[in-house]
Amino acid sequence: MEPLTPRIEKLREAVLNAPPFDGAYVGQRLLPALRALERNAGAPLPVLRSRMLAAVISESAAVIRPGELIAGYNYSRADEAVEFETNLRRRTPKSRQRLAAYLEQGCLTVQDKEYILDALDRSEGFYPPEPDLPEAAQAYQNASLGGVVWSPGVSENHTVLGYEKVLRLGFAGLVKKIDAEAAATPAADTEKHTFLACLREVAKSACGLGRRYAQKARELLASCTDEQQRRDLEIIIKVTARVPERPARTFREAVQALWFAHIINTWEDGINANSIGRVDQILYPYYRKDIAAGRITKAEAFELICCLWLKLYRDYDVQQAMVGGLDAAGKDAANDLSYMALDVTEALGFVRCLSVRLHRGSPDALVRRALEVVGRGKGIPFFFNDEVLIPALASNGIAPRDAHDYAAIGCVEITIPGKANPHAVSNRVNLLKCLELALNDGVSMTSGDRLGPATGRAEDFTCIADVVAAYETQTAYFIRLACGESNRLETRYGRLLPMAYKSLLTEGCLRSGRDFNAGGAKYNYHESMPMGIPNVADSLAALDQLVFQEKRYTLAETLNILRGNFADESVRREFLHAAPKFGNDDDRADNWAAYAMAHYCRELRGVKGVSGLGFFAQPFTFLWLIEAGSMTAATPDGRRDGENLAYSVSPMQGRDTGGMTAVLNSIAKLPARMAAGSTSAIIEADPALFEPGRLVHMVTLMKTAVQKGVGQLQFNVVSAETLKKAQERPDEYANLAVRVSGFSQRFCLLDKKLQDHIIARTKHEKM
Amino acid sequence: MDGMIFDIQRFSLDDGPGIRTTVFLKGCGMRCAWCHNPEGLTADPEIMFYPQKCVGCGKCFQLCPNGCHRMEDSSRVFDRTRCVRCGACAAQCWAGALVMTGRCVSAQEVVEEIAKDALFYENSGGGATFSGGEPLRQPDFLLEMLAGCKERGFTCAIETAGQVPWKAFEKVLPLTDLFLYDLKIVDGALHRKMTGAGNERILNNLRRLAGRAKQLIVRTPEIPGVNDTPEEKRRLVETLGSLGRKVEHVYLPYHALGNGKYDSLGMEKPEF
Repeated sequence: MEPLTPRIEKLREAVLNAPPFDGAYVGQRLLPALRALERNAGAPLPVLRSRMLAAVISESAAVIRPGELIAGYNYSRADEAVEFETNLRRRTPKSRQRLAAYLEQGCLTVQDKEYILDALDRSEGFYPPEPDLPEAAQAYQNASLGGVVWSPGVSENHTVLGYEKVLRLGFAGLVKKIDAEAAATPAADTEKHTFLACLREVAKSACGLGRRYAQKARELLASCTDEQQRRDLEIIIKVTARVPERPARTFREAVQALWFAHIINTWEDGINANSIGRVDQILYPYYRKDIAAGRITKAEAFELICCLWLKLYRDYDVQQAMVGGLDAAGKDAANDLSYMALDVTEALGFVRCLSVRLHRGSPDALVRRALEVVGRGKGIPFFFNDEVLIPALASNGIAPRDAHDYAAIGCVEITIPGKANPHAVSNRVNLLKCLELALNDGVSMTSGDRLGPATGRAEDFTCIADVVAAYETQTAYFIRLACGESNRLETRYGRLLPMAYKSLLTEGCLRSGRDFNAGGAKYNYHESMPMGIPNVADSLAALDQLVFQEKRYTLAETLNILRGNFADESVRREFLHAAPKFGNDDDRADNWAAYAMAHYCRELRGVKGVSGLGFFAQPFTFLWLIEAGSMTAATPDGRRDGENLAYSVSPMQGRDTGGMTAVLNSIAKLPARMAAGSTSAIIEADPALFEPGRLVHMVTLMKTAVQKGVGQLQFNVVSAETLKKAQERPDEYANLAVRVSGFSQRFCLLDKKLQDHIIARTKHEKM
Repeated sequence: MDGMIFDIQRFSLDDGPGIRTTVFLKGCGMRCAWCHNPEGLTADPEIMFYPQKCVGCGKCFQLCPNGCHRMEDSSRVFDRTRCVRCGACAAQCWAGALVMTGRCVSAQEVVEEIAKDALFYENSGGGATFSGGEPLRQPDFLLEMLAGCKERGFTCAIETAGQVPWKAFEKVLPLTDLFLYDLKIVDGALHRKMTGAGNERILNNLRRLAGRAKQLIVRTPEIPGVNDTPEEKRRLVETLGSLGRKVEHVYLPYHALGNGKYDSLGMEKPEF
């Protein structure tokens, strides 16, 4: 393993010890944006918003820290991200207080702080008020409050843009493209001309971003006496004087341009999950040329990637990077940088998020290296299966030549970099609640409210097919509600949230003259998340086996048991243990899981989107498994009232007892090729599995999982003992990282319920 | 045909090459003091009792025909002296406090379970391992499982302590790719004392097997204070040297992870 250079050690130390708020960044996005908002009052919304972003690019503080090789910060914490949308979210006295407290932590003058708060107050009513909800939206709200569906609807800060264009053409080159498009657009098409002018405004200001950093570096140089720092600044001046305005020529220019391109994206709508994409593919042409020409050594490239990784590492966001996978010709695309990304991740001991794409022909060395890094215990990298996801994308309408280029966003969502608006968190449906409603004639068992259609009294059901028919009716109804709301919001946000920068770096927008958020992307679709597939499977299997086949209980008795939340613990254990459970390679349960997922995917395909490709299934729960579970009554799988749902398509916690091959076989039975939004599964593994002698078996295990069609996989490498200790003495384990729902976070920062959830998960390695 | 097993463990990495499924056959002729699978000793099903898992539903009080489960002085007791191992209690104990260990299964059923990981074996050079207990105490059942595995192209390993008639080896030899042969103690008297059985047959079988087995690995559990003496180690080296074939040998470190099982089985944990 490459050791860290003293420079990187220092930078790493600084990142780890950084206070949660770095004062220099506070207000750097709000202040210029609000000034621009007020300066341009009355301008059409797209113009206004592009000017707000252009102002941030042109006026925010240029910050260069000692020892940095890559300059620039994406200073925009959640507080500013939310406020940036001004009044799309209603402001309250409390939110004003919170913002004021946040601003206090910065280095702003009193006047600037007051200006921000007042300007936000003045902007009250800037956006048109929410119109009266149509009837369908009211039904949606009812169902959402009842715990069945949630539709945030937007693509907010979940993108991978065409950063590669910034490296190849520079923003100056992009301005030329805009001008050419404008020249070819009839003058009468004023809407498109306005749109192009917005893009131009942002691209032009982006041209100047590097120059502002060069200027800052010159100022620092004037008073710098440290020889090393002087050399650093001189190079920063040279690099930033060129990029991102003009094309990158060297690896270092490429890394700097990539970082600039990325931070502008995060300024537009927040850091959160905006991701950088296939970093090994984007940077490789520059790396290869530099290495061939002897302009750079591997060690120098390693140091630059370390710098990029340190930039990406910030609290509470999941800026994914991806390596490996197939190229357009169907060949393995792994290169030196794929391995270097893993080396850097291991050497730093942390990364915000890293994923590796695998296929049948992935080199064993890459799989092995990736698993070694996983074995370090941080659960990273994640694995994505090209053999599943490329066909899934292609069968959902993505051209094969684009499908091969997919990359992860944020947690485990996927997109086509620079070509798609995936609306990655568009909506989610609590399938276990749908089953609850199917067993209770559409009425919530937890609240007594009618949420779904009347599908008959379960007491009258005579076979499992009757239950399934009711479940299908309920599920289909709620899928339509959730997607209807997504469509309503897309229409609304398309008007209210134009995104000039995302439009600039997303294929299709320039040509069509339509914004990224208004269906302009080459591929416009929504990702829709079915939650609780494993619970539905276990519940249907239990009803099938215990009620209809073995007739231990009638369905009426079962309902009474559920309504009573398993008052008799031994009865709960019977439902738990006398029926098969998903995750044990037992078809009697696994087939129900495959059924529930296939049903969801089929139903989704029947739903029309506002524009483009409609809805892609994405069986992923994130941490919402807690919220959804808390609103779902006791279920026949032995789950108590209010308990969590299973994570994504992982077996319900603690119910998979057959070992790792069994759980992988179960997951592989799911129709992952129907889910173009990617599946997600975490399986937990003992650290002993990653020891050198056993790693070869893990490589085989992983490659076999790929061959079998497991869509996406993460490992949680921790021991329950350690976690319990961490729960008792959080201070002593403050650095303990765990995998939680595709999201890297320190264990001690999780709430107790989530900690318990993780501790309870099955350990696959028996003692 | 049917046989008696007590576990099938998938994703085994320490019972032969590659990724394997290990089948544990019940029943053993030896009584090694350090045994970590005491549930594999007797040939019949037994009831394991985990009081900490009991939820106090009281079903077993009614289910037991002999009144083994009852309250005495307000504490719950399991009186094994009257237990006939009918399993009526365990069959209804969903809390998992009473568990029947040992089940009668057909060779075909086991092979089907093994076959679920076929692709993992193919990709890793793994296969099936038959362990125990002493798998060769059920030679016909074992043979049928081996044949089923071979039909599907899986490699087969047998973990044995060799305390069985040679004709059992004769039966399985053609279908076994690897023998993992436990030789615990070479000194005959010490062997008898610590395992309850002499080692003449074990040594004879080992010599004959050395000439016939496709692949043979001799393994010795290294038991502190028992067989880790210089004399015993020297005797072991001599024995291995006299097999007429270079044989791989490994020591297996002793561990106490199985100790809790003795309590669950109502067994006395032997001292050594």
